[in-house]
Amino acid sequence: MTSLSQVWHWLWFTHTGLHGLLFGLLVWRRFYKDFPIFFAYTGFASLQTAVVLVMNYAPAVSGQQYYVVYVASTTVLTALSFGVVYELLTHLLRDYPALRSLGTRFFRWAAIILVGIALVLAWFAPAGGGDHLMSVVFLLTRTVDLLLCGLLVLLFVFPRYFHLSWQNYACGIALGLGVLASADLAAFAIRSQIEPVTRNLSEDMLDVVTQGATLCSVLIWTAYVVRPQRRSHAQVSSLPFHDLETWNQELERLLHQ
Amino acid sequence: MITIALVVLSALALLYLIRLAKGQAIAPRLNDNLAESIRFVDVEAFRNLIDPDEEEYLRSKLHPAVFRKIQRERLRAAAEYILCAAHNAAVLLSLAEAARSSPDPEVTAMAEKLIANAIRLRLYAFQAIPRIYISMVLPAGRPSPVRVADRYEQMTRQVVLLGLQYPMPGVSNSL
Repeated sequence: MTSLSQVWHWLWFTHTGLHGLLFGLLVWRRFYKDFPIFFAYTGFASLQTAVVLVMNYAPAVSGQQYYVVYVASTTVLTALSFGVVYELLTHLLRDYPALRSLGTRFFRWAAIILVGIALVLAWFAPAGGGDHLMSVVFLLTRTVDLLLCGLLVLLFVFPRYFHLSWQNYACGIALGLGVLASADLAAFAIRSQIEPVTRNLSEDMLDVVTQGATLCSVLIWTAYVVRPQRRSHAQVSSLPFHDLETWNQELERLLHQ
Repeated sequence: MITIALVVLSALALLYLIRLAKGQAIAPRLNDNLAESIRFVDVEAFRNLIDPDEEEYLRSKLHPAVFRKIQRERLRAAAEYILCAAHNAAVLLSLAEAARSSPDPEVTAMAEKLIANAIRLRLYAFQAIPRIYISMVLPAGRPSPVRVADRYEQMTRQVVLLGLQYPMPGVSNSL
């Protein structure tokens, strides 16, 4: 086992443990109330990474069984990650009724355009490599990551333009998912082209990137969950003077001008 | 080639996300200098710049080449006004967001209205600016940012009302 291989294995063990810890924190903080899809995503990711890790070392499990479980669980996880994006958008627009219709339309069209771009890229840069099944999986993962990454960038750009404030948790969830999606996009873009039949140094390097990104995103989510919730907008530093009588008088005067 | 482009794109997306998230995490504090970030916007002057009658008058009085030059300058100035109004809307949005957490339901309601109007203004600005620039290149097209002026006036009135509850020296005067 090369040192790089050891590194990504240790990263895998670490984020598997941290996933469990994060899920415990989410239960403790009752995240299932405000972010049910993210809660389901983290719960499923904790289960998936633990099961796949055990299957990786279990002698009774064949390579085919491992890949079937891996592909099936990754599909569910991908669907949940899009659900998380939708949940974040809903959270963002919830406090701004004026933007609900526009925001929904904007993201619908953005998703359609991104799907188009991803499909064009998949057509012009098909997967290479020896293993046909895994090449297709990597290509699909690349396509999905491109869509996810684009939506997450827009999820930050859209409120930025309108100077809207984000909930602390929502911002952290989006950032963690963004780190994961962008690193996966880079890794799977390379992997879809060079996937060899046997493992080599480049494979180990890409695994370090993906496992490291997963660990980073779990750490980001954990940090945001542990921190107290606050909105990221300015606060009034001093209490203003309140005088309802004067307020009414001034209103009347203004209305009669 | 596409693979390299995707790797570069993902790296840029990652850096951009981190930068934006960092910006979200560091909340600006409202202070007495808020008024300084509000830029002066003369709504009447803006109305004049986009007035079709005024445009027709200039067209009839000036040589076509001179008119086109002046009209481009007028549209450029109108775009500047809209950008200023959109900037002010962003600053006022921060103010209204803070006021929204007020225990006074009247202030909260006023802040909600201000937020809605500021958002609409930025939306109109987003639509109006490209149209103005297109009109500068293709003089046949006519921008119709009158709604921006209306929205700005409406928003300014609400700021005055809000300012009575949350006194911010100079904010209302700057509009």
